[in-house]
Amino acid sequence: MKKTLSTVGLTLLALLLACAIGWFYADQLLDGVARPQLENLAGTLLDGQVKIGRLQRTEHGVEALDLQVSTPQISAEIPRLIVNFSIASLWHRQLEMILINQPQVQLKLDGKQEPGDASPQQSAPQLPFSVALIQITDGQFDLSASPRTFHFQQLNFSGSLQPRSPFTLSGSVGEDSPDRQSFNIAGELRFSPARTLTLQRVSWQERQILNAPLTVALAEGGMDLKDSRFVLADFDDRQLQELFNALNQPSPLPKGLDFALNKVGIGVSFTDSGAQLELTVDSGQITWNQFNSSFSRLRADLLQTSQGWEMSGQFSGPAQSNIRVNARLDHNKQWSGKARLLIADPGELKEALFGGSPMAFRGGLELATDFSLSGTNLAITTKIQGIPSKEQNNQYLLNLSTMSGELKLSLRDGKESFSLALSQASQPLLRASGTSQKINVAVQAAQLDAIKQLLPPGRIPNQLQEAAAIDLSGEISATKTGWTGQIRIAAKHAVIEGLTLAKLSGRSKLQFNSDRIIFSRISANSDVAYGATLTGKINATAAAEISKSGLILQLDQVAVTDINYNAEDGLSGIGAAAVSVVGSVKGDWPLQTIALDLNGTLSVQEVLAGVFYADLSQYKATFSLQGEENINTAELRARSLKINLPQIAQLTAAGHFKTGKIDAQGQVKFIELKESYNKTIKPLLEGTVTQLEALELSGHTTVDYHVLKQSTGWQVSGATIFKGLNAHWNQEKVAIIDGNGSLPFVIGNGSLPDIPNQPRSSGEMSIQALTFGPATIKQARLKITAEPNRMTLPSSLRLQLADGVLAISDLTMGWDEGQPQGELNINVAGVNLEALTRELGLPVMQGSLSADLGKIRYHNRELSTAGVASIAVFDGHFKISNMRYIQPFTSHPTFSADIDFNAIDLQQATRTFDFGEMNGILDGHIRGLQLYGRTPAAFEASVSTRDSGTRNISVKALNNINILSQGGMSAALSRGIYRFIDFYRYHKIAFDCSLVNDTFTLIGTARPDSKRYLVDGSFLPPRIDITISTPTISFKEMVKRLSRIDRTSGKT
Amino acid sequence: MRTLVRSFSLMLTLAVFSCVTINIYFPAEEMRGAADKIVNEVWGEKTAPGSDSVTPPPASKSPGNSFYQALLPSAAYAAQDINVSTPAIRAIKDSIKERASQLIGLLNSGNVGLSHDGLLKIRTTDGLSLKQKGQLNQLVKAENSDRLRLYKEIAKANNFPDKADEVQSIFASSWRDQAQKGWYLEKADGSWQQR
Repeated sequence: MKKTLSTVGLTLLALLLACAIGWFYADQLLDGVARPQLENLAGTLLDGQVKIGRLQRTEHGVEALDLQVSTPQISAEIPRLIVNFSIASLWHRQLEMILINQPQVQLKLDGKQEPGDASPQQSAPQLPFSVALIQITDGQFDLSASPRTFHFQQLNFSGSLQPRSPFTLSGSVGEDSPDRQSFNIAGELRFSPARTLTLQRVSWQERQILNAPLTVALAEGGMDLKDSRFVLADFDDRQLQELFNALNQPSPLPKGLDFALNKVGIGVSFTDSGAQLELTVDSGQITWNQFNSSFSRLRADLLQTSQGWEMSGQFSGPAQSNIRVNARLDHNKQWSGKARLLIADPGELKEALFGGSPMAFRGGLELATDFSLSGTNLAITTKIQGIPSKEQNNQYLLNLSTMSGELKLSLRDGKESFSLALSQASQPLLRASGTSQKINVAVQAAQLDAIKQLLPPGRIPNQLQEAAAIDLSGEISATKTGWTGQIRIAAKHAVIEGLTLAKLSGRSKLQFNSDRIIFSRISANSDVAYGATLTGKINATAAAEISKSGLILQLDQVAVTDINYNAEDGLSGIGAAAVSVVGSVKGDWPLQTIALDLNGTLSVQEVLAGVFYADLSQYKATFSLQGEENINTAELRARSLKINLPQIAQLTAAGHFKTGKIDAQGQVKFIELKESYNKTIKPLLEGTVTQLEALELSGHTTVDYHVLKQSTGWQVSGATIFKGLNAHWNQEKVAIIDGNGSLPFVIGNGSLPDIPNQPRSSGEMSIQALTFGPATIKQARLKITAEPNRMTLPSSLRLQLADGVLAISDLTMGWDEGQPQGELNINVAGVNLEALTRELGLPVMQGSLSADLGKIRYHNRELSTAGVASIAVFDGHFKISNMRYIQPFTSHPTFSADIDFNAIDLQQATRTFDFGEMNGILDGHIRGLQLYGRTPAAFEASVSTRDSGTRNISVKALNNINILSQGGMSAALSRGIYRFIDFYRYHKIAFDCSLVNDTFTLIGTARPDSKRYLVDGSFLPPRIDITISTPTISFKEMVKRLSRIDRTSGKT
Repeated sequence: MRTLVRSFSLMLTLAVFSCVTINIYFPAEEMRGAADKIVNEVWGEKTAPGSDSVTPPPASKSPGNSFYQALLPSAAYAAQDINVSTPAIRAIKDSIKERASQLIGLLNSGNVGLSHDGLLKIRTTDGLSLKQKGQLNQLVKAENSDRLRLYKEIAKANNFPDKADEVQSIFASSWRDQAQKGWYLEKADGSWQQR
C-alpha cells in the first residue's frame, strides 16, 4: 500500500511539473498535450491506467478534474485535485498546497503482501519536493483484505510534506451509521534524521486511547516497528466490540467474556531472530459467565525465535494470588510450558473468581503446572503443595497447609481424562481419576488423625474417637441430570463413644445432582464391641435421600445380633441378645433435628444381674418409637414409645431422654397377673427371690409412672392400680382378696434441684379381705400416702384375731441408705388364747393374749420393739419384753427377748404340753433368751414353785425331769412299792439354768442349802427327790435329753 | 528405824502389787486354732474328731523369772476356751460345709480365689456360661454372707462381739493356710498368686 501511495505521489508530481511547463502554452497544451502524457506516465508508474477528465490552469496552479486511477490494487476517483505552486516555490522544489476534494479510493490487498513484510533495513527514497499544505476533504477509503472490507469515510486530512510534517486525520470507520466509529489522529511525520511516524493523539469515538505518543519507524516499504512502544489508556471489551463492528468483523471474544484493562502498554520490536512483543497491563478485570477476576501488574513477553514463539509472563490475581507462566509455541503450533500459581487464600480466590458463599481454608496452595497443547490435544500436570498459614483461625472448611498431590488433565482426540492424587502430611489420602463423564474416587486414611488434620477442631464429632484403615472408594458417572454411581467404605475399626466398630464395611448406590443426593441399596456390616465387655454384629440395609429440604433415611432393616455383654466383674451380663429396627428417619439438612418413626424387636437369650439369672429365650419384645432427636444436644423427645413384652406387660412412655437426664411418663400395663406373674415372672425369679416362690397372684395391674433423672439423682413416682387383685403367700398365711384401688409410690435417690417441691401423693385401696396368719380383716379401705422412698398408712387397721383385735397403726415403710426400713404400732387386745392356739395348730392353751408392742421398728435388718406382750395363760401371766428379731428374712434369723412369768398353774401347763402332770404354782423368768431359728442359743432362767397349795408330781413328770437332770429314767420308780404310786407330793421344784456358749448348766435350787435338788420331796413318804448329777452338760447332750422326754399323751 | 522399816516394807508391797495387772486380751492363738479347726472341718479332709470345744494351747509362760522381771508389770493371762459351737455357728458351718464341694471345684478351676479378708472373691469368669456365672455369684454371695455371720457369731459367743474383724482376719489366714495347691490367693495389693 505504501508503495502504491508513493507511486501515486510521483505521478501527481510529474503531472504538476508538466502543468507548470505548459503554463505558458495555454490551456490546450495543458489539457491536450500534458494530460495524455501525464496519464501515460502515471499509468506506467502505477502499472495501471490513469485518466484525467480535464487538466486546467488555475490562478495559483493547476487543477485536475475527474481523475481516475486504476491499478490491480488501487481504484481511485478524485473529482477535483488542486495543486498550488509558484515558480519560486517550484524553484525551491516546493508546492504550496495540494487540495484533494472528495477522493474515493479503493485498495485491495492480496494475502501475499502484508504491511510488515517491508524490511526495516531498506532506506526510504528522498522527497523530490516538499508540500507546504496537503489537504484532503471528505474522502472515502475502502480497504479490501479478502474476505473483509474496511470502510473509512468522511476522511479529512491536513498536513504537509516536509522533513517534519505534523498532520491531523479524522474520519469514521464503518459502513452503517450505528456501527460507524469516528476517530481523530494527530501526529507528525518525520523524514530526518530518520523517517518516523509519531502519533501524538488518537481518539476513538472521542475517547483518547493513547496515554503517550506512539512512534514507529518508517521503512521504504512501510512502517519499521522495531522497538516501538505505545500505551493505551482504558480498553475494554466494548471498545473492542465497537472496533470490530466498525471493521465489519465478528468479535473474536467468546460469548459472555467481558474485560476492562487499565493502562495497557504494548511494545513491539524486531530482532534478527524475529519479533518481540511486550505487553503490560496495570490492572484489569475479566468476567466470564460466573467467573470474575481482577488482576494487576500483568507483564507478558512474546519472543519469536527460530523454534517458534516463547512467551513468559506473570500477573497478580485476586486474593493475593500470583501466576508465572513460561510457554513456547513451536512451528508445529504446539504449545508447551510451565505455570506456577501461588494462592495465598484459596477461599478468597474462589469467592473472587466464582462468587457464591464464602469458603474458608487454612493455608494456601502452590500449583506448579507443566502443560502442552497441540491442536486439540491438551496435557496438564500440576503439582499441588499446601502452604502453611500465618493465621490460626479455627473457622475453616479444610486445612490445605499440609496437603500435597498431583493433578493430571489430558484432552486427546476430543477425549478428556484426569487423575488426582492427594496426600495429607505425606500420607496418601485421596486418589481420583476418570473423565468428565466418569470418575473413580478412593480415599484412604491410615488413622482418623489424617482426616482430623484436614478439618477444623470439632468438625469430626468428639464421639468419634478413633478410626483406622479407612478406605472409601467409589465410581460415579455423569448422566443427563447429574451423576450416578456407587460407593464403598471399609474400616479396620472405628471407636464412637467407646463403642468399637470393627471390620466395618458398607456400600451404596449413589445418585446426585445439584438438588439432591440419593443413596440407595445401602448395606453395612460391622462387628461391634464396647471395651471387652460387650460384643455384637451390626447388619443394616437402608436408603437415604439428602436434598435442600432435608434428609430422609429409610431403614429397611438395622439388626444388631449376637449381642453379648459380660460385666468386667463377671456379676452381670446378657447373652445372645438381638435388636432389629425398621422405620424412617427424617430431618432438615444439615442435620439439626431428626424425626424418628421406628419399629423393632428385642430378644435376649439369657440375662444375669448379680445372683439373678434368667433364660429369656422364649420371649421376644417388640417396640415402636415416634419422636424427634436433636443431634446437637443428643436429646430425644419421644412422643410415643411402646415396648410390648409378650406374656408380661406393655410399656408406654413419652418424654425427653438425654444422657444423664430423663423426664418421661407413661404406663406399664401387665397382662392378667395369673398369666404374667404366676406363669412368667415367678418362674424367672425362682432361685433368686425365694420369698416370692410362695406368692400367687391374680387380677389386673397397671402402673402409671413419671421418671425424672438428672445428674444429681433420680426419682420415679406414680401409682400402681389394682383391679380384682388376689394375692396368696405362703399357703394363704398372708392373703389379699379382691383388692381394688391405687397404691402411690415415690422412690428415688439423690436430689433433683429442678424439682424443689418433693411430690406427695395419696391413694386408696379397698380390699374384700386381708389375712395375716390368724388375723383377718374384711371390707377394708386403706388410705395410702407416698413420699420419697416412704409409704404411710395414716389410718389404723383393725384385724380380727382369735376373738380379739390386732390393731396396726402408723404404718410406715421406707427405703433408706440402701435398705428397707419401717415402723408401726401394734396393739393386741382380747385375744382368746384357746382360739389362737387352735388356729395356729399349737397345743391348745386356755387364756388370753394382749400386747402393747408400742413402736415396732425395722431398721438395719433388725425388727425391734420397746413394747411388752402380755399373755394370760394357765391362770398366770407371761410378760415378754425386749423383743428383737435380727435378720428375719434370712436363713439365719435370731429372736431375742426377756420373759417373766408368774402364777402359772402347773397342772394346766403340763397337761397342755403332755410333760407329765404336776400340781403347783410356778413363777420364774427367762432372761437373754436367744432363739436361732427355733433353736435356743442362749438364755438364763430361774424357775420355782410356790410353797403353798397342792403340790403333786406324776411319775411321768418325775421321769422327764430326771431325764433332763441326769439323762436317764429312774429305775427306782418302777420297783417295789413305788410302782403302785402314780403321784408323789413334793415340797418344792426350783432350778436355775442357763445356756451359755453352748453349755447348758442346771442348778437345783429346791433346797436353799444345796445346788443339786431340782425336786425336793415332801416330808411324808413316799418321798422323791430329784437331784442333779452333772450340772453342766453340752448343748448337744441337752438336745439328746430333750428328745428322750416322754410326751405321749394319756399317761400321767 | 522401825518406822523406816515399816514404811519401806509397805512401799515394797505396794510396788509389787501395783505391778500385777489383769489384761483381758484377745486370744489370738486360741482363735487361730479354732479357725484352723473350722476351716479343716468345712473343707472336709482334715477334720479332727473330738469335742467342738477347742482346748487352747497352754498359756505361755510369762517371760523371764528373775526378780527384776518379777517387779515388771506382768500379765495374768485369762486362759480362755474358744467356743466354736453354738446353734448359730453350727448352722452356719453346716451351710458352709454343704456348699464346700461346689466351691472347691471352683477354687480348683481358678474361677474363685481366696481374698485377703477371709472371704471368697470371683477371680475370673472366663469359660463360664451366664448361667454358670449366676450360680457362681449365688454361691460366692451366700458363702461370704455365711462367713461374715460366722465371724460375728464366733466373736459374740466368746464375749468379744466387737472383735469380729479380728476373728475375720485370723480366719483369713486359716483359709489361706489350708488352701490347696493351685488355688489362687489374693495379695494385699489385689493381685493374685497361685499357691
